[in-house]
Amino acid sequence: MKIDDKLQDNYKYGFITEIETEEFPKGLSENIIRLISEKKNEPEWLLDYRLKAYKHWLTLTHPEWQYCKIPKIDFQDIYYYSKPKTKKNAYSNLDEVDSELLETFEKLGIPLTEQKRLMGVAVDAVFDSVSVGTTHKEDLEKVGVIFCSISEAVEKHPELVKKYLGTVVPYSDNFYAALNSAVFSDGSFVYIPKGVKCPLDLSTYFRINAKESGQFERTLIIADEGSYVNYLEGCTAPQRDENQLHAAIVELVTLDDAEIKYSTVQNWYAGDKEGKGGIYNFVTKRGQCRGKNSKISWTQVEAGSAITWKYPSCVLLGENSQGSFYSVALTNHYMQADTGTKMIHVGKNTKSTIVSKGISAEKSQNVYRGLVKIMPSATGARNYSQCDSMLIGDQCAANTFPSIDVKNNTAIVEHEATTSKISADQIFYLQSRGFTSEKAVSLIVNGFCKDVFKTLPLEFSVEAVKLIEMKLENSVG
Amino acid sequence: MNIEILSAIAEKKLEHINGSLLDFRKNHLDQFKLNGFQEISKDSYKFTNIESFFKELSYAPENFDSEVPDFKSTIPTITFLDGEFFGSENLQPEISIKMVKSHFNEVKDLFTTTNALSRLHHAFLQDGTIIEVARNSSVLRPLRILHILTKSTVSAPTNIIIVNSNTKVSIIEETRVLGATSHAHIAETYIKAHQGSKIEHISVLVENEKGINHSTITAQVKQDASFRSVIVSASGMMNRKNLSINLNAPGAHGESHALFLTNGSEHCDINTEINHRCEDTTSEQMAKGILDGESKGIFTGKIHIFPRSQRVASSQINKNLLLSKRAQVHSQPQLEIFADDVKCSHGSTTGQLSDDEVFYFETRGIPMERARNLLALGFGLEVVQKIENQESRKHIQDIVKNKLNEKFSIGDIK
Repeated sequence: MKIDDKLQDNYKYGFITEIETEEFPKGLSENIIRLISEKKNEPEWLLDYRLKAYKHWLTLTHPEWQYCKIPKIDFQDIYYYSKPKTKKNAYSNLDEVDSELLETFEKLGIPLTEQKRLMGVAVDAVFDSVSVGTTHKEDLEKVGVIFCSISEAVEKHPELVKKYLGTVVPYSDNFYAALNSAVFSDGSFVYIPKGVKCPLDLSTYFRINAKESGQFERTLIIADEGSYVNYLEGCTAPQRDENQLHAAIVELVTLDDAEIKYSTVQNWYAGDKEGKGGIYNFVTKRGQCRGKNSKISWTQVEAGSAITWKYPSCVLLGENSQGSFYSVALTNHYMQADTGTKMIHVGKNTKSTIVSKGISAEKSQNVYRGLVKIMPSATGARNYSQCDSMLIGDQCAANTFPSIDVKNNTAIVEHEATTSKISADQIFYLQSRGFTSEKAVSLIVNGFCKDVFKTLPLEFSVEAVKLIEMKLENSVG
Repeated sequence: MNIEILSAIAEKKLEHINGSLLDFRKNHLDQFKLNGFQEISKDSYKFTNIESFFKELSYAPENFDSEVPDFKSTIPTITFLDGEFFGSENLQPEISIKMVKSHFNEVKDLFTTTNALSRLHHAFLQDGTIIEVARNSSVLRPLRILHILTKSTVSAPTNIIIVNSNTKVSIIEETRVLGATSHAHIAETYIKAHQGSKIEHISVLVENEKGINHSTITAQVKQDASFRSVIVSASGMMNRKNLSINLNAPGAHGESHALFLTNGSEHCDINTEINHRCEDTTSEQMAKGILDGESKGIFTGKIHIFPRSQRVASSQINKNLLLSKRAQVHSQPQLEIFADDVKCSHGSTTGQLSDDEVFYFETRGIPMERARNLLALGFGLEVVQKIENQESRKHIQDIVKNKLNEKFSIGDIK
């Protein structure tokens, strides 16, 4: 079976927006951090936090345990702050936003302008280092939901930011967490007050545009007692020959009976066929279920980035709290992915579910790495993990490294994993029913990922299916 | 015992050695003195800090006072006492046995690994057996290599097992510790399975709570040959097993089954690696742990499928039973797959005895303690059932039953 290479390039978001940008000089120093902080009118405590993180970062060396080859990154050769040029530092409404920028988001299919806002999703759009606009703000304010960029939150709700920032992912957590804590520029902030079910799905769209810049966004979501929110995240970047760094931190906090659903469709530029260029996606994502009966659910579809290296995790502190992780990671060409999750059970009767599907094609590497830790206090904890890999082509690799630590005998922990390929029989069966071999592969892959896709909101699910199809179009042989 | 004491003991033991064995031991001793425990993979020994366990060992070279109890069984046996040849009985004609000491030059090329523990083994290298099983023979009765340890010292036996084409054999390597000696037993076993042979290798350990036991088993499996390893270990203070099965030619089949029983503050670390180096190879693994007291168990099972090793099937299952609140288990299955036409699966579960199952027994008039016994025994014996040779199986089954009886808080097993 051989499918012709139909499309030479299938990354439709690879365009560059010609817009003047304002950048700080390249490199990282205390001065740059002070400049970023000053630019954003930050209070003293936040600058202190950044500087502390920076000092800690200087003491760290780049980790080596990961299962991907990362070329040495010159941290002094990156722009740490880049923003589209306007008269103002922040946009107070969309009329002030440049038309090029709006067109960019239009092209990406992100509804920022009035007529498209009817779609019923509130969006915060982040372009390089700044948030461009947040829609549906008024509707959300009516029910008390705060949804804005983190810079705005620092200004308007400093008490909330101060209370929660860095409490889930401290700056000392890891190398890139320290870097992000020192230089983070923008990202989204969400606060759902007590008892509120957020009436709209919230969404952030990240776009890297500027050359040789790094994106260091910071997202903080707090769900107060009895609240609920569904949050979606999407990302793209232009096609360039150089690698670009994206090192974000996402922190989630749920209090008693609250629930956060966090979904990501990650489609950063992954480099060309020879593995040139692409984004390094090194993200620390973690949620803390602090309250009783609280829930956090991570769903991710990782289809882009030259290197994906992230472990969205749940720390289950509250009694009966639940964490879940659903992931599809697709790699092709020379992409590398080392992704998975950590479930730390601390509270009684905590439950967690892990479903991970890895698909590797061509010369790519796909690693699932997961930790399930049952602390002595987690009586009656329950975990179920399933991680399946699918290999397409004989030069790719699929590795599975789960780690299971159980320190309480009442816990029940189950783990299973399989690896397989698409069999010729399956393809033949579908072909005999009139499908082309390409469509057949796509059907089988989508079936393989079904368990994850069904946890995504409908629009996202459709998008994810299309994305996987598109990615596989010329990589199935 | 720290590096100095270990080196001093090794030095002393060199006195009556000469020839190439002396050079070999000296060389590795020098390397060990130089690097100590540095030469060890931090990843692979993540949960087992070898050096600190060695520090806990006290050195007291006392002889075991009472007589060596009778471990006689009807099984053909070669006995080693504290690492030195002691005697043999009922041996069978198909099996030829040579001593490592007197045939060292023939086998010295096997010792290629260079980590701290193998350095230590080589520096202490004592006697052992080179067992060769003749071509086209089926040896019905198992062969037992029995190591009895009575002294608080370091012993380092070596076993080399060569099984020629079209031969079937079952070999038991049994290590027994007498009294409360605090010792280090560092063993290495090399197995060669020639074309079409079938080997069953059973490694069984009955330790006290003071000893260190480190053993490495390496198997090379040729075309259409099959190798089955069964590890049964009633642990010591620290017990580490490294098993590596290399499936080198089409049709090779490897199996690795392990059962460990730990209690008190014991520590057991089982590390297995199955390397599918060639296409059309298959493997199967089952590892089970029964943990009581404050003991700690670690299972790391790697399945490595090399590039171009197509049409490979491999499965692995790991199950752990925690009998007490403070026992801990770490399970790390690892799949590394570099070929696409493979079927690979692994599973892992950890839990306690099910109340429902115990209750079912009680409704049938069987008291709780007994019910727990039976359930734990049933859990453990699944591994023992994998042994094909009936005589071997019976022998191991008795050891497991006795061990569960005397060591565990689950009561009496009749």
